[in-house]
Amino acid sequence: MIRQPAHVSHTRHRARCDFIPPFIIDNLARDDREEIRAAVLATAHQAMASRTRRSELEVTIDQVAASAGLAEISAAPGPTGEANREVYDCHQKWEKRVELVRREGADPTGDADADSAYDLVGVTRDFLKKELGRNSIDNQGLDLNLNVHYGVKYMNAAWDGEEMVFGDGDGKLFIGFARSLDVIAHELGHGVTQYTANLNYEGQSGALNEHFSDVLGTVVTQAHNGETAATADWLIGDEIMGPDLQGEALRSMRAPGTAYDDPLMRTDPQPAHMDLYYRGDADNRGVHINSGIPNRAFYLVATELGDTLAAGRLWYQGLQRLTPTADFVTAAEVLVNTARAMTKAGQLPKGAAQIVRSAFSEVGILKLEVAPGVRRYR
Amino acid sequence: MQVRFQMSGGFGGLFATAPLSYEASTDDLPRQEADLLRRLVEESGLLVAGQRPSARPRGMARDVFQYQVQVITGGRTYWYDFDDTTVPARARPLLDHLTAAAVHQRTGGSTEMT
Repeated sequence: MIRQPAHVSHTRHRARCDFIPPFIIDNLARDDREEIRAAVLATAHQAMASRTRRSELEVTIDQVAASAGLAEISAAPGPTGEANREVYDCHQKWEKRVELVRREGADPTGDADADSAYDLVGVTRDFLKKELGRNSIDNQGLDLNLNVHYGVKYMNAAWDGEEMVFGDGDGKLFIGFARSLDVIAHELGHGVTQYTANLNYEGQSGALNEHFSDVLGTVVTQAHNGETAATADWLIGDEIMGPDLQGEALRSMRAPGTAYDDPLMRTDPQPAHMDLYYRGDADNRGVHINSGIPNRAFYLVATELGDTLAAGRLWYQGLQRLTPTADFVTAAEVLVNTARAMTKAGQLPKGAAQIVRSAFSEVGILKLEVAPGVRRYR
Repeated sequence: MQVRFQMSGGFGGLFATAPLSYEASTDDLPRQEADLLRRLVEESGLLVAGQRPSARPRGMARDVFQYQVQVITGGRTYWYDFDDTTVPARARPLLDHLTAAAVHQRTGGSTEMT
């Protein structure tokens, strides 16, 4: 039985922010009293919990969040679950939940995919709790269902809107999807995004959706491996490349476009700058392609801060201030503003907002403002 | 019978700029392969008169593969647009076959067909 998130049915807040003119909300959001600002933001966020309402509120919430100057957003509290893991072995069928092989707290099964998926989902879940204060992907303890050995030589891992599926690969091109932490954290990241900004999966908002998943993938992996921004490889999907593929990984956040060059996959199409923005229709208008541009910006911020985890926390706060139709410029500006708020709150070092703005300028999303007469040197 | 197949997507957003594709006509294939293809198409349940092609779903699936299948037979064209969450179970063997054929063709036969 699929458990629905507990908050969906009963927290349709009666404070209808969409009936209050935006300028009033904006003024309240700038009120000197923190409790007023927090109340406005919490109210707007409660209404965001219903996906169908989000598009109506997008301008309002962005104004509120950006002007509230609040360093942290917490999702509306509600009844909580326990984020229990359930691992299903699909026995190479194209069906989910064929056989439950491991419940939360149960002993290892001896199947490498089932046990790795169990462990690595646990690592990601625990990271969300400990480092981001988030109780599972919906922040209310949603159970996590994992389906391993899904399909026949399925060369993929995916999030279907409710749970994860992992194929076996074919052993030659792709392997071990259930044994790769960045893949698992990436997929869980889609769940987190679904319950926060719910970025539409096409065009720039879709590329942001993909980007935030890669961010969670790399942040969790680096933390788990004890790596730093300087020592990490910044690769996504390096562990699933089979012996017959030529390439380091599926994506590089440090150097988008360089991850692979292979007869089957051809060349990594990711741009690292808006100058090479992909404008075609494929891949829902480039969601896995143009994600390279903000990926590079995240790499620059993490490296410049010398702290991937801090950058990850900033990005997580930024994600919660975005709406389904956010584009690159909006996301960049929200991240700059969020960095400013987090610096004021002592959560980021001084200069963080400038580092973020500079990174997004380097990839061509924002322009740096230069005082007249000041010459800029590279 | 002519079959045209194309796939892209997945975790890696693969084949977006160079879709993985395969095209075959039973007239041109060796007898055994032609028979196999014809049988897989018939067993897929896709050749149902009046069946509308699936619209690209706007659901919450992420990182799934997308497939396009076109079958021309008996003077009719059947056109389908699936992703991993909407492929009919009966059509999976056909898709697996077409995927393997497409991979085999692109890699110059260096990977074995399954």
